[in-house]
Amino acid sequence: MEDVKLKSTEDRPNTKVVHSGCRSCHLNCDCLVTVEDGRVEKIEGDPNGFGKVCARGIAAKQFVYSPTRLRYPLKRAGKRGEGKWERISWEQAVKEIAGKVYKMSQKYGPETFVMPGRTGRHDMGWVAHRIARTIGTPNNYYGPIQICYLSNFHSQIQFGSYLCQGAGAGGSALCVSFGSESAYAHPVVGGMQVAAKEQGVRTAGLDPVAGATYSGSSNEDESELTKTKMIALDPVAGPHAMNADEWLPIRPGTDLAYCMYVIRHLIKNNQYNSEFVKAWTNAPFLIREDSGNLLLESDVVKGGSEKRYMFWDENSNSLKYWDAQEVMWEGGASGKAHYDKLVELCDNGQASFDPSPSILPENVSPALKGSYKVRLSYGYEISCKPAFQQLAENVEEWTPEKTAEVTGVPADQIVRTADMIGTMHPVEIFQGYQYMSTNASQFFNACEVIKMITANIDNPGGHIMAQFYPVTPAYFPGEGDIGYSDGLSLEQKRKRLGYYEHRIGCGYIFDEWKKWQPLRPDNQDGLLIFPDVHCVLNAAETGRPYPVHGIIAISSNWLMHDPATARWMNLINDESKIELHVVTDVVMTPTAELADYVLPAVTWLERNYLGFGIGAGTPFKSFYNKAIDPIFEAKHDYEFGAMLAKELEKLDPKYNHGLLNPGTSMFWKGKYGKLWAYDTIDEERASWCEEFLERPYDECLAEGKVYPQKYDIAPDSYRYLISGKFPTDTGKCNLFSTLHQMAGYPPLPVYTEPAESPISRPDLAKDYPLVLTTGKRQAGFFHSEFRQLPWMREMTPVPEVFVNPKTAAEYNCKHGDWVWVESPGTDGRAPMNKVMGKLSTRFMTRPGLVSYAQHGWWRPEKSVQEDLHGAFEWNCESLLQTHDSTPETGTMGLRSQLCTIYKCSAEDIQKYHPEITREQLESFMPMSKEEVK
Amino acid sequence: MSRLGIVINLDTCRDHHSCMLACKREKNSFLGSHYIETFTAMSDKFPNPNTYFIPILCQHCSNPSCVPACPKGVFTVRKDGIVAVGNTEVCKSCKDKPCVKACPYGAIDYDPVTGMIGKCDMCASLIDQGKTPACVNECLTNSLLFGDLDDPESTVSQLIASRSEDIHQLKPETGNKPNVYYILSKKEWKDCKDLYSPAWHNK
Repeated sequence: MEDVKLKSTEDRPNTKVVHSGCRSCHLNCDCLVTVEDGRVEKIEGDPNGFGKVCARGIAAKQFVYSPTRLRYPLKRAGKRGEGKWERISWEQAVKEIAGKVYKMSQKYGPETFVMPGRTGRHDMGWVAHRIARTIGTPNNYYGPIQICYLSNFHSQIQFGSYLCQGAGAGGSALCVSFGSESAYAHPVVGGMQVAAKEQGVRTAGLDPVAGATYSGSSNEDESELTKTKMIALDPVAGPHAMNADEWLPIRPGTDLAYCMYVIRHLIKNNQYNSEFVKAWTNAPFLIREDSGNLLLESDVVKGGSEKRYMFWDENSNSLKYWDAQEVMWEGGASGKAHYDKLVELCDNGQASFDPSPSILPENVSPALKGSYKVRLSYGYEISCKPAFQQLAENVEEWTPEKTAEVTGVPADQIVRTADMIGTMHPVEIFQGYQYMSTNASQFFNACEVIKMITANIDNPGGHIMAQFYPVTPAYFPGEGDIGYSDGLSLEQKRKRLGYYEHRIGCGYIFDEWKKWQPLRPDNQDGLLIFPDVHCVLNAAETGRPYPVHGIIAISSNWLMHDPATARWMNLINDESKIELHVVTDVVMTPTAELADYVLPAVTWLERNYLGFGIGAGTPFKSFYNKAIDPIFEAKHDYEFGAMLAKELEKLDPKYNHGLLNPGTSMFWKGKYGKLWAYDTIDEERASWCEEFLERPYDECLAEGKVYPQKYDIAPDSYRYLISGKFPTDTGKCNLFSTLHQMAGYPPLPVYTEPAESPISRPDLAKDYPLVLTTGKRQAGFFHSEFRQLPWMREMTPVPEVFVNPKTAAEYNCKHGDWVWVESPGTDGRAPMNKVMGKLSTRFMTRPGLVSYAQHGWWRPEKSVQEDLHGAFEWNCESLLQTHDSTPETGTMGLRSQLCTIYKCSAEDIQKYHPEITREQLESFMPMSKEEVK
Repeated sequence: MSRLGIVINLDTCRDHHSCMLACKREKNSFLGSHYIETFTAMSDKFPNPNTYFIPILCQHCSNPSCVPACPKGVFTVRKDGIVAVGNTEVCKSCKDKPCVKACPYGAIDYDPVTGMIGKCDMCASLIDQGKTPACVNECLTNSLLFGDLDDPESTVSQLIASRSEDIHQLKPETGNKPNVYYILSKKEWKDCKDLYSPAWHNK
């Protein structure tokens, strides 16, 4: 195949084939781009990578030359959303924006600027964080991050580092997935899942979505292939669930109840791994019944250590300790010297395979159950019980019958599938990348508990930790380092909207967490330091705790992805509320139409890329080439950030100088310098290559995959055996979440009913009796993107509203009908609380449910005068409210609210003409060579 | 003699649409046409739906309906069995487009803008270069297999022989003798009943 390609390029001297990385979703699939006379002609899979690309990758050539591309910087010339623009230069645009940022910061404080979440382009996360840091606002990345990927990076709470998700493709014996639909969200991963299920794969520690390609204990012997059984919890039987071994048509938002039963089942049936639980989790540590805190040596001995966690030894019938600092069990060997050596090696990019001398002594048996009287150092006697005992008590009420009643899944299926989890190994608990209910944090905790008690931690086919300090050599900074986002003062960080309201997600516990270890994730957005969308809305509306007057949107079509659309529209239409709105984007979106300044950004085909995984630290760095130069005046977001910083620097030098990273990070720790030392991202990348890989950037780009000069291949599983502890405060997997306890939340899973469900809100359910769930994907799109690509749009022309055929009939609707989906008008949803969609019974769903697919729909075929390119006709976000959210993280109930449906009238169809036409599709065909400068 | 054909394993088809876009990239067919299209075989059974996906393309029949139906001789059956498409400029003056109606599989698309027709030719030009059809190449689950049905040693022939219980063909009653075969073992075969595709068609 390759030979043919090379030959054809020799025949045509103006043709080249470029190795690039597709950014039509997160996966960054290796691809080959054929460029003829400077024009992208064809996009194919790279035989040296997965070898294939998905539909979105193939269609990307229609994206780069889409006539909807933004060409030049634009300044608003009419009212917001009127579509009147003045073309200006980049220099003028940035100068004016900088002037306004400076003035508004003087007047209101820099925290008046908020930056909505995003997901459309590489490098967007850390670049936006650095822009926020430059301006001095702690308010970057509200909205999507509270749902997207939170389920993954929340695991830092229990383990100090991310757990990779095999997404059903990691060679597990069993994969339990929650609302995951890779076929449309990540088609290449969907392909891997099928291979894992049907043919079997080698058990490996990979995270396909993170792009981590290193394997665990991979075996060359074909007989070692593992076929993966699949359990799918999903109210809709899409491609994954309909082909799973078990489909559990669960009521949205009650996945946590299922997990509560699973934990109970594992404990009752002795299907947990007590060896792992005792030695490597904090389950045996005693909880003080009076305070709810873990019992420390300092509680029971005057002058005792606060790093010694007490447990009850069943053998000696006495209190004993685990010393997290000395890496030592009482009566056992100290692992401290060994650990310190690992730290030294880690700093030098080296690794060790030597096991830690610290092991649980044979004559010690930590108790997991029971209640114990303990005398405190000042004389009082209190009751204590192991965290595991408390866990068992928490789940006791979750009988199969009760779980069936709450989840809507038959009791026998609940028991049967829990038994599969308890008897198979290794098991992946794939909680997905999005969980959008108001009990999100406790759901994640419950998933982590299941992983821990079945010993599916840092094991191939289970859950590999992305980085394992100090076993994984840290040879290259991650996005969490290069964003410099933690350089703000504590005073400024505490101003983050949501900081005190959602103390797990919005930064309150971050300063505690970061003391555990100095490795920062490869994904900047994975740090638990995001503002909360509801607090942002409130601040903008009421001025409390301070007014929000500026929105700077980097690669964010936020109008299409943030809930409570009606509230946002009220704000953006009021220039006394939102004084400045800046948008950088690739195409003219409904959000961009509401901006004061719009700046044209590049697509992935117009820029080089140095790969950062989403969670995992790979032992090499991947480089990808641009296929063509930026078209028109498009620039990388980095260049906007650098230009802005340099303009601000003219007004006050502080804007481009400061503490890069605090002392707790491994890279540039405690160093002061320029936040933006370069003009372009390629110059900055070149400096990293010289510093950390000791290779010129050009060579790296040509080679594609580059290993550092000095680097030991490190062990990639069971690394706790080497370090002797987990990179957490307790040195164990925190089954009892110490951070939840510190922040005032339940440290062990407890169930709460979704905040807007037929059970919790019977008052609303009277008129809105159906459960609304969103987030189901359709083929060809990535969030709000690609509605204007002809090949994608003819494949998926309209939103599909999945409803059970019997439920549809009860509402006088049937497959193929255009329907209105209407949610309650309360909590600021009116008057935008209804959208159209095409009812579909293509996929079976549980009765009483409406699944709106997909989110973020707009209609680029309509003009800006037609409601901002049809921004409010099909966007299910406007059905959703932000008032109810997860206490810990602010995660809203986007997948579990209420609604009703009814058929659209003939007049509605006439008015909105929902079907696309050939003329409209033709108008989206790529610009010609002559049109592109 | 050779008889080229395609075997599609529906047990592993997941509606990824890569085949449809690989076809677009290779053939650049007019907007609203899909030479290969993934349909969903719908089911109303809850909670064990008999839903599956089925890509439908020209069946490259041994007894094709389109060849005799065309008054202009646009279609020819090649020696390797491919039902090839000739110069479709002549279709502009063809009033009734009888081929479109004649095909029992709806595999021939009529472009109302140009007046021409189009359909899958199994990527004959790629095959002539020793390559495989675009859709076969790009399937993310390797559900499409291509080969010579007359060669008993070919993968496709062996699959058909070894899995005879699970092998299906579309509308066998027509006597068209398709050279596209489907494997379905995990769900109940419904042939062309209850098929639906959300894709847009320019008709």
